Amino acid sequence: MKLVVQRLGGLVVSVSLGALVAAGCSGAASKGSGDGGGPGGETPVAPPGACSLPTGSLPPRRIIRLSPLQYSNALKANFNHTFEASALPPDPLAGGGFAVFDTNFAEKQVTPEHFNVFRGAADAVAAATIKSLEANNGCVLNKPDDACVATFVADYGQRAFRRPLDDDEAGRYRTFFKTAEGKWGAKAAARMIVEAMLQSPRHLYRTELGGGDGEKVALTQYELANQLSFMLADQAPDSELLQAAKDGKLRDADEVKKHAQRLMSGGPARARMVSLFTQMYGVSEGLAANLAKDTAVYPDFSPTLRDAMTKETGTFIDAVLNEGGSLKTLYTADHSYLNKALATHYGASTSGLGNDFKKVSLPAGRRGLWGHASVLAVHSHKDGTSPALRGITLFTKLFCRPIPAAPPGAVDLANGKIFAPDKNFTQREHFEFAKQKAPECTSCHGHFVPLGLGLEQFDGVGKQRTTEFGKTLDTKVNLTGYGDDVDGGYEDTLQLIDKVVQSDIGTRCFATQAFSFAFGQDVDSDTLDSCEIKRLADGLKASDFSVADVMLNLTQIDSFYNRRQGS
Amino acid sequence: MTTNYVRRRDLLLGLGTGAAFLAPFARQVKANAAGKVGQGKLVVFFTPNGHARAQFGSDGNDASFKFRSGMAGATPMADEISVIRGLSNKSQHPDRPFHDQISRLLTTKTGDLVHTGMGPSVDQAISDLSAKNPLNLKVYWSRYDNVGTYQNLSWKKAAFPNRNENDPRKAYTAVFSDFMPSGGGMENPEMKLALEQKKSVMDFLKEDIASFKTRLTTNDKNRLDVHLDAVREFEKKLETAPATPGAPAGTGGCPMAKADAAKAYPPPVDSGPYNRDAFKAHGDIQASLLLASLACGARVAGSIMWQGGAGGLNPLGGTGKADDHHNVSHNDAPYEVWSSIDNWYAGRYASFLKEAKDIGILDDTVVLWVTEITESHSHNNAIFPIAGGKNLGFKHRKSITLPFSGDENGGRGAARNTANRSLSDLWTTVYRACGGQGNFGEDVAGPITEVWSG
Repeated sequence: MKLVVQRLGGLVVSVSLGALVAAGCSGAASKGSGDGGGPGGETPVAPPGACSLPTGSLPPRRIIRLSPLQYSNALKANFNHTFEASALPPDPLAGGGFAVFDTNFAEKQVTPEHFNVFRGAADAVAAATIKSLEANNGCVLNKPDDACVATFVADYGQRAFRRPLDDDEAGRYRTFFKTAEGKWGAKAAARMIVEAMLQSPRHLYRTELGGGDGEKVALTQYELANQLSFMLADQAPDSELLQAAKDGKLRDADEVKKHAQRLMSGGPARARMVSLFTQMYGVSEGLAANLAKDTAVYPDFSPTLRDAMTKETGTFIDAVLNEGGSLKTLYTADHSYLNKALATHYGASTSGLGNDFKKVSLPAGRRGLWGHASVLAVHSHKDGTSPALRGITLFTKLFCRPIPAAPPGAVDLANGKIFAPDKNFTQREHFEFAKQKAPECTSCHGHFVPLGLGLEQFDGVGKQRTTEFGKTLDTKVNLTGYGDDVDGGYEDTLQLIDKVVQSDIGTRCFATQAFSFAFGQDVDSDTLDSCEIKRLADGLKASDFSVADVMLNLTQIDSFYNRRQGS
Repeated sequence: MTTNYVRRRDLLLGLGTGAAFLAPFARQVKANAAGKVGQGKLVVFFTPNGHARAQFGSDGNDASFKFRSGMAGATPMADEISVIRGLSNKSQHPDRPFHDQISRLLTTKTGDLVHTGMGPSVDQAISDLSAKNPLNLKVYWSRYDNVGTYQNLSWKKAAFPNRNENDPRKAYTAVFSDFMPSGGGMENPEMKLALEQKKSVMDFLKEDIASFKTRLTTNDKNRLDVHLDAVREFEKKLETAPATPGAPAGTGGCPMAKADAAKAYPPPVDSGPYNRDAFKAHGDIQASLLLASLACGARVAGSIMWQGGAGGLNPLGGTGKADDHHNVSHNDAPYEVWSSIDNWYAGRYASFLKEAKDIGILDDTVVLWVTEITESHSHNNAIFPIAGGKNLGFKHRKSITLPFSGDENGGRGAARNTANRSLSDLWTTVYRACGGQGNFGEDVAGPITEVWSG
């Protein structure tokens, strides 16, 4: 679809011709479901070949407030307004026990603090809109007739709500305009309309309400367009996607795939995939910026080195995804992107390196994401390693096993019995001591601490070592009970990870994490056994572990198109 | 001290058009409310990991009132402080009596949801009396910050924790960008018009939200209620706002001298244990912001959380496990180390009280020092310093020991011994002092008359 660029004074607005015709210029509004979701009422069937989920297994009908980044991107795309996403208070991370992402819809609200910021942005956009209209002698500012008001409401409504307004919505905004115009004039009325639209839940949330009253409901065309674009690229749907929605094409999985591939070819979609991994491992820049270490124990550690660690991980993931995005490469690559300081920290070649990050071969024994100092240091204490923290992260993120709550008195027990070993104990000796003194703890800790012990060749800032307190480190790991394709003995946890990412449990777990991330949806152990997750895992293996293929395939499943009614 | 006032230009800078619209109202005097609603204010001063019980608190009364070593740092403000010993948190979850019970600390309500406060917290309830929100501020920011389990001190209602803002600039914006205290003066027709238009937009928005809610699930309707509350809160400010571009600044005006520094305070990124100066400076700026919000009438209750529950930062530093406040509280260091950390916070408590006194609000403000546990993860026989609020009926230089029976380091069973007083008695005392009617929380025996004359 050809884009029409309107230059309205200082305000440049890109809108689709089709959308304008549909939503504004004709002054017509669609007859909709009245729930803010746009036209609906289609049959809630799964795409051909996809698992048809029991209704209870589908995500619920819901509304999802835009994330700060999504909100910022939407204002930029539809109003050419620059909004600093960090002005909004961050939302709490939320999710199931092993999948915790900032996309989780449950924690996103419009609190008074959010409302203050949204209100400020609405005022700013409304003021800029009036300036543009004045510069272009917009009819709405000069004793507008009904058609002009209808066009204005339809046009700005579509920009704000990312879909055409339905009859009811358009009627209410037109009435509001007329009332305000009667009291304060057309200019004030136009400004108030834009202010109201940009503080409306229809703007601040996207809906997944669907049409119809059955137990299983089909998402509307515009809901699908919004879901697809925000899910893959954190962006409002563009003109091509809105046109496809208008044409009723988005219940065709092939058509959706075509748009998904188009969206995923851009930088925003790759940034979103990078975010999946940095959130999984707590190494996104904002979080890792607070990483502190005891410099008495780690004299080489500094904020500069910490920032280099974070930069390495982001650069590495982005580069891998840009080159085809194999999950296997992410976890097993024998190269990374280092600057001189980090290469020195790793004992890698510093030849040709300065402040910039360049592709470098890693020293033997270090590979993949779990060889990154950022991941290793974040999951350590400030004065030492933490097999428990590292183990819990591996247990939850690679195996999707939840960590049960500690039983009553567990910490008291630990304090009383465990924290008194020889100060020169290695972590393995410490764990063996704890197992003897408090064997009841091993029913839980026995699952994950050994995974962390298999990374003891990396200290608390991710530097390689072979000994601690003069003792040779034993990093062997033995895995049982996770499936024939992974159970067995390993020299260390990196060797185990090589195997896990290609295994049945590893691929199903990654599919589950991606599902939770994409849909902002709580997941649990049962999710791993769902038909959709198994199919996604099969697709992952068949595509040589392509991360992008998992994201694409998430648009081809029942959970993308349909919702359960809920109460 | 020097008293500054919110300036229009300052608010315009970086705060958006919303601030610009409201800025003319900012140079105002503090609100005067009839009765105790709005007069009585509450500050919750939270530090983590309990206290070294034997070294904390005070002994004696009146002339012989004296702090123990863990509170000696508060001595300069001893005339404004009493210490209550013997309260237990009877609402602790039966299976999770750990640091995560911070979620029940200010609500004192029982329930099956482990990490849920089960209702509004006392700061929210007092704020509700004045149709305001509490101001909840945090100092130390760790990478675990977003895991709310150990952070959720204040609750709007069950399942809706209030956010703790640790960025002073954002907190400043949140409080003062739409601040409209009452005051007199000549009416400004232009501003009156703008107010009417804003009110009209809010009216439309309320209808818009109501129509949007019709097909939503119960959870989403609740979510929209939060949005609606935000609209109503702003609407109330509009209703009480005078069309006054700048009322005369009388005595007791907004004390912005210290709080103004928040506007230039860099976003906190590394207030970790190896930057303790930043920790103190960050805490002090948050304290000044909270006090300014109370003095200006923008808020009536709030909290300052130095760290979340089980927080590890030892503001004094130390070696090995003694460098971690949480570890220290679990006997990884001698009691003196723990007590010295308590004493460092006692200094900040006294500093907070002095600033409140200097700006003239301490006698109307109750300042409670709370922590999520006592010792050994117990929630029994806890110690609570309470300060300020003399105009509300609070008495100071008192060491109050309420009867406690059973294992003070024990679990919920010991706490719920009917002979023991509930923490909810303290909240009921504060709630009533701030104008609330009836009791607050569960298991209430009544106000603590030893410290409050009512």
